Amino acid sequence: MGMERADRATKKTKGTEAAVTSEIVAGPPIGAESPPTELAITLRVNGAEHQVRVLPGHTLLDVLRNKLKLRSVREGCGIGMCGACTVLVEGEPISSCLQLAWMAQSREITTVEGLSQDGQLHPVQQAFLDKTAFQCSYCTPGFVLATVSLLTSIEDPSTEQIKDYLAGNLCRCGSYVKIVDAVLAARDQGNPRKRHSSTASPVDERGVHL
Amino acid sequence: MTTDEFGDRRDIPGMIDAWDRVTGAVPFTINQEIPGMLHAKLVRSLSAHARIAAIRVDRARRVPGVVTVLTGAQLAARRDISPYFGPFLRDQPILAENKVRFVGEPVVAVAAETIESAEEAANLVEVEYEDLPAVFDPVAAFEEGSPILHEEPPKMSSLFVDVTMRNRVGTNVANVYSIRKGDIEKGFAEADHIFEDVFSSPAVQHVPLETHVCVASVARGSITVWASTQTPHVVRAQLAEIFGLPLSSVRVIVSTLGGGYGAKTYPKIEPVTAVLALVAQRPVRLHLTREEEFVTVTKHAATVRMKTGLRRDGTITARQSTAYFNTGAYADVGPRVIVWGGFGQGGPYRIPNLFVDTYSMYTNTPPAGAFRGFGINQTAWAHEVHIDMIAERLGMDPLELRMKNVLEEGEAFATGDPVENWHSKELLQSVAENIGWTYPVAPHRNGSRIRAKGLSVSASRAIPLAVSTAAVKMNIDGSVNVLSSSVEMGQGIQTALALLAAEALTVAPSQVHVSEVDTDVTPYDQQSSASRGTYSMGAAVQAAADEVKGQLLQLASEELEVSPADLEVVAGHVRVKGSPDRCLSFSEIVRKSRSGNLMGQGRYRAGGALDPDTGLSLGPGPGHWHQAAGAAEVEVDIETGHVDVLRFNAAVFAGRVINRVQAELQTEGNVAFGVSQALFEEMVFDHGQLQNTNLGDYMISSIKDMPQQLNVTLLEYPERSEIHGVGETALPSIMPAIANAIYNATGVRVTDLPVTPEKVLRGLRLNGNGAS
Ligand code: FES
Ligand code: FES
Repeated sequence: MGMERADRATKKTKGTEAAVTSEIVAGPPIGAESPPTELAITLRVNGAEHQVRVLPGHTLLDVLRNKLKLRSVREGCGIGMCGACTVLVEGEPISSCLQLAWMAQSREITTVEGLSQDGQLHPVQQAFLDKTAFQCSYCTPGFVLATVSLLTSIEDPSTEQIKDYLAGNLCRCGSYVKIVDAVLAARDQGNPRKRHSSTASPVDERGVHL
Repeated sequence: MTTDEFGDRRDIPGMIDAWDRVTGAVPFTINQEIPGMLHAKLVRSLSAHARIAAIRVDRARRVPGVVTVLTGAQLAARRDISPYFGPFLRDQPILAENKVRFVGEPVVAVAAETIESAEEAANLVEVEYEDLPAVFDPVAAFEEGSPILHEEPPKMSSLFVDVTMRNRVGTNVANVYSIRKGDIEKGFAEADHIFEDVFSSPAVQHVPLETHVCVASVARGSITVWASTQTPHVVRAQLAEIFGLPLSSVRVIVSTLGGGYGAKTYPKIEPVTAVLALVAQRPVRLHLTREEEFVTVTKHAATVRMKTGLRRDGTITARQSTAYFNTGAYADVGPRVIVWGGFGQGGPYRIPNLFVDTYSMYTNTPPAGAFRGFGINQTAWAHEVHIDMIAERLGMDPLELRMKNVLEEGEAFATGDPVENWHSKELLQSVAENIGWTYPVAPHRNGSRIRAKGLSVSASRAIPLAVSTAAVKMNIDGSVNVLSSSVEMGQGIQTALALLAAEALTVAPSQVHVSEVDTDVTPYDQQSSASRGTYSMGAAVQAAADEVKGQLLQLASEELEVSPADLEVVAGHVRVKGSPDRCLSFSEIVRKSRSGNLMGQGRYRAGGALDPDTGLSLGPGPGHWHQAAGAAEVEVDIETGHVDVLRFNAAVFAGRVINRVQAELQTEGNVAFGVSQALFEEMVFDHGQLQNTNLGDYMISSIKDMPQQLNVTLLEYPERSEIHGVGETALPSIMPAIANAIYNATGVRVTDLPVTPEKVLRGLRLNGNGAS
């Protein structure tokens, strides 16, 4: 178990450098006489640009949740182990609790708030809703985003691949059985890559490229 | 509109607010902000047991942005504050006063403009400790000469009437519960065999992904708190007492919780947040880190010594059992947990002569409180491993031994009250069949991996003397508001109550809205725990809906000039029996009668008080026996000790299922909890200092730890129309079923949870049959 867990931690913290840097930069400002200088940065989130002032140690989680009020981004552990804070950066799932905000500048960030469009749920959200793949749902945005990324990076994943991919997202309510059902339903319902890429080739109803 | 249009209730989406849950819009308390709000940080004890010699806060106060730095001594000096809390014993200081009793205990509280300032200031507080001898083990804490945590008798609480307090002042005993049933000596004299074993389970943490959070605002003699609590009315009562205010001046608002599992029952961080708001004269927010959550509340570690006498044929004649529950430094709900942990030692079995003593013990560890399974986990772990060990010694099939001894309808539970709607046999039979149980056990070996199966059965009693109240309001358009203080924490209580109200009033579920909890508005409920929401609050809502229905019939009878007896309620209408065209819609009735709206009230009261001397029931029980059985198939790698749970069958008695998908989810969730408690969850302490305080060091089950195949059986008898909560029913049976399967695979008997690979390998070595 320990080994599996370590694997997924590394996978999840994509850009481990960021994680390491975070600890150095975020070093405790104990006894500092003057507050650390704020930085003015621009974040591209869900298709919109936001100017925000952040401290060098602020994580992407801090900024998305507390400054941009994107409440789907939630802390569960603060150390990259639970996936509750998962967001997509350039389509890749990362733990936003480990990513420094200023380092995410000029990269495209997606949260669950950016998935549903025109009052329509993203197919992955719809599948989670249809299967009731949650109880308290604190973990749900993280699972939804990880699934979006899974279905764009692995074609027609098997149940085993799904479990491997989602092993970095924890659900303490233990909604796992229905989460797997939801991911399978989203998989079978079509390849979501189509939704996000204008260059995707047409697919048939099983997600097979024509 | 006809009732048929509502379709099968089972087709209704699992949760009424599912859209908000998949879009992340659901309003957790962590989202709560109010203008002018300060951020709080607590300075926590570094010592397990010590006198506080000095606290220096000057440097902390000078940090820019700091508004308040508060110590226990300052609180004690205030005349407007009563600085202790606790649901049974007022033994827990809001901030440590002159001594600390566990590592992590709050000592100083800081409120500042930003969380960064609060953290910086907290780091600059200096506390000098004079260490005292400490005790960490509940059995050691019982021994003479043990360090004593509480010298002074704490103030008692009168909040709850179901538990008799027998705390022993001047010792570490926070409470004792005993059962004296039958004649224990006679029972052992009748036995052909007597077996005695000792079992233990460690402290574990609930790990709700949302840690405790509270926002408090204090203004002109009133307090408002937004809190992540499962017990809003208890929090209100305790804040009222702390501040010396009437209940009506304390308002507790609870939106949906990001997990609870018992962790969020009874006051935890609400008192300190509220006193900070009082002193700072500003609203204050406190949100615990994961590390802090670990030392805020735990599941009781427990040691159980169990001795059982049986006749040659396997019939149990007597059991004597003693359990020590580690309640930590403060009693919290420990005095009640041991009552469950007490009768839990009888299990679901027919034991005519039963002699039980269960102690709630203070130790220098973080307070233990309510945990999903409530005292039954620790005792089912004991009796279910014990019974497998006995079966082997008797050369009997463990399934048969259980079948022979489990209670049947109407027989006496450990507390003496007759069990009703009792289905242990059926549940056991069902899991045994599903898993393909055979005896003798036939482990299947493939290289270094061995497969085998294990069984268990468990039961619990509902909370006696608890009260739930609800109100149902029918609006002028016929739509319905349900006012209830049941807290939504993912168990789907709001959906269940909406379905029940819709059913009782024959309206579509979409016409029903269930309120969030606001103690200014929503009626009293004892607690959202112990799986009591659906049945007790459900019963209150049904009663309130019936009252509204009665009013509708009365008003319609006046309007239609027909006796109410000649009227019937069908699909949102009241009509004259036999002449369907003489009919008024609910909306017309409310409108024509100029009622404004209709209001109904409902109440559910459980019975079941226990005699303080014998531990036996004094009258009809609270009903609603929680019953489960589990069957596991595991695969153990004898080279690594690694265990995979391949299959699990969880069967629970569900009475009448209101929302199938939720009942399945809760039971599957119990399996997720149970698998990790069976195999790896354990809070590891070194001299009272928790070693695994984050989710890197403390493992909880991931999607990969789930059984490859998981069968949930919800045993229903819908014709009896009885609703049963299943929030925690399955959990106690899961750990022993897995451990019994591991034994059947390897011959390694582990009696102290969790069954780690190290213990499996050590056992294999001791048995001399490790991997070669
Ligand atoms: S909060 Fe970021 S992974 Fe847990
Ligand atoms: S649904 Fe509660 S943590 Fe996943």
